[in-house]
Amino acid sequence: MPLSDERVFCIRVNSDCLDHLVKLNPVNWWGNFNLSPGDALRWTLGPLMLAVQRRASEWRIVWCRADVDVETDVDKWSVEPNSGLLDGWDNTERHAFRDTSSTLHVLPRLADRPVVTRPVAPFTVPAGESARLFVSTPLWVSMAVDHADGRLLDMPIVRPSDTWFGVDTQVGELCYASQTQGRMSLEDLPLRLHRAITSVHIENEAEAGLRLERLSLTVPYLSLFADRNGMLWTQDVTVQSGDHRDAVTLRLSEQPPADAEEPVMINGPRKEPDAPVLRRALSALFG
Amino acid sequence: MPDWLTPDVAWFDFATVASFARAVLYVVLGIVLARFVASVTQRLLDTRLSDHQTLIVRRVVYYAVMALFFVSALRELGFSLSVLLGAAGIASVAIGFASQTSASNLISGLFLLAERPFVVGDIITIGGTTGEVLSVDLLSVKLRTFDNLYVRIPNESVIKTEVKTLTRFPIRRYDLLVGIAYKEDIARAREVLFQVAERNPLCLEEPKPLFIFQGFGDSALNMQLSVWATRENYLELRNTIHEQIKQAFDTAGIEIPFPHRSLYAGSATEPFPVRLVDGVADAAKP
Repeated sequence: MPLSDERVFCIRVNSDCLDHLVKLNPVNWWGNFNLSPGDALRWTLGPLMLAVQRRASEWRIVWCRADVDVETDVDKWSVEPNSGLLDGWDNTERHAFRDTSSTLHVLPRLADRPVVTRPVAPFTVPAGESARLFVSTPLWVSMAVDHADGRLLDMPIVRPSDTWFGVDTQVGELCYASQTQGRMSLEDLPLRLHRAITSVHIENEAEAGLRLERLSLTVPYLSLFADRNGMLWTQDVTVQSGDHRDAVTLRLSEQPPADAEEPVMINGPRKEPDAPVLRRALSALFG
Repeated sequence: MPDWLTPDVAWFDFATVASFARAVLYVVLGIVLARFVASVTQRLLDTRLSDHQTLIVRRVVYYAVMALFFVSALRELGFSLSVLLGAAGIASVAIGFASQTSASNLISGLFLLAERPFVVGDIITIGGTTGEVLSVDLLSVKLRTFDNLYVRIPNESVIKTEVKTLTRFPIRRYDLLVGIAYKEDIARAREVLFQVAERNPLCLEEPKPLFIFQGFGDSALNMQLSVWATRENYLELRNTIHEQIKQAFDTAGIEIPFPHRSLYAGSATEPFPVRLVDGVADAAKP
């Protein structure tokens, strides 16, 4: 999905004069990149390094992951022309086309499964009260070209750990485990380029307290926004526990919270919700 | 004209020929109608029942319709059904004694159909055989083992013995046994094991990995680390986690000991003296 205000980075690489490569200076690692046949770009997103080369009838993508400390090194990123060969990388994918188009759309994307997060410590929302939790979820990097079936890549920047969310080991759902804990204050949440922030409002309208030990966030239904500072957000999520003990209402707003300054939507949801208000079992969202 | 040249016209009278023709017509009609009704039944039940159940019902309908028309054809030919049924009764007793096993397999197959402990595509273990279920038939279950062998297991065996369905639930637990030397710290080893489980993305965070101290073994402190994975990732987790634990133990300096024995000459004697030589027997030295 192209950006509403397209930022296009053009490079012209003269294969005979590799010393005179045009230096890129993008604001973010995502955007629309124009490549001529033979050109290659390299992205370094924390532990993930990937390079893309356009050829006359082929797009070639290679990548590898470095073994780095995710929490301290993941904020380093760069986008620059790749002057070396694309051989010898750990993984290679090739996409053949009759003719390759010139524009490569690179976008962050939210996870393809629900993400389970735990608060720093379990807490209870008394009857009639509400609480707000900030949750960060892992991001994927997505690359596509102008073609009906043009998605070339869709992979996590940092591979999150699998986890099972369900009442027992027989019935449940495979999810990702958030590597950070949910926080009640935004300042306490470590902000990283490979994660998006979701503000979750929990409203307990039942007659008994609601104990929160872990939360499964239905990330595939959320959209991705970028604020003025380049931080990535999803829209506000409100979880309402009603009179019926086992049912909750999940409400997705149109925009991220006010903490996100001048948000711009950069990617839509992976799955379209059936309705703006979703009904879920209590056990499907809260452990 | 001699009598023996005169044909017995009664044998070829029109009524007999007509009966015979009707009998043949019944049989042909029965075959056609049986196929038609069976295929209609299959189309109606395809979405409601499993493939195996649909196949069984189709066969039952086919043979039932065929039997009806066949009996009608026999009546048309003048056969007395009561005599036939009597003969069939006697024959069935004889056949029953001879086919006890097959009948038992057939009945077991029907019970399996109703109980459905596994379906086509599941991976099961019966006795010492593990394989993918190819079909659940009237008399037997067909498996394909992982080394691509075809195994036929009678339904009676399936009903009578323990069957493990490995693909019934979405996640599985792998119990990894590891021993560390007696000189090592158990708490530190436990911490290293949990870190390995946490770093492995295939290892589910929930249900949490489990640590169990198995006991003081002959040569090592025996421990168990139980980790969970989806059944699709089970084999990959099993292969990767051993390697990761070995690397982590090597990095942490935790020894996984070989089995060893201590030898004593007696309760009050010194240990056996050991002298290192250069590969040349002392007697051969100048």
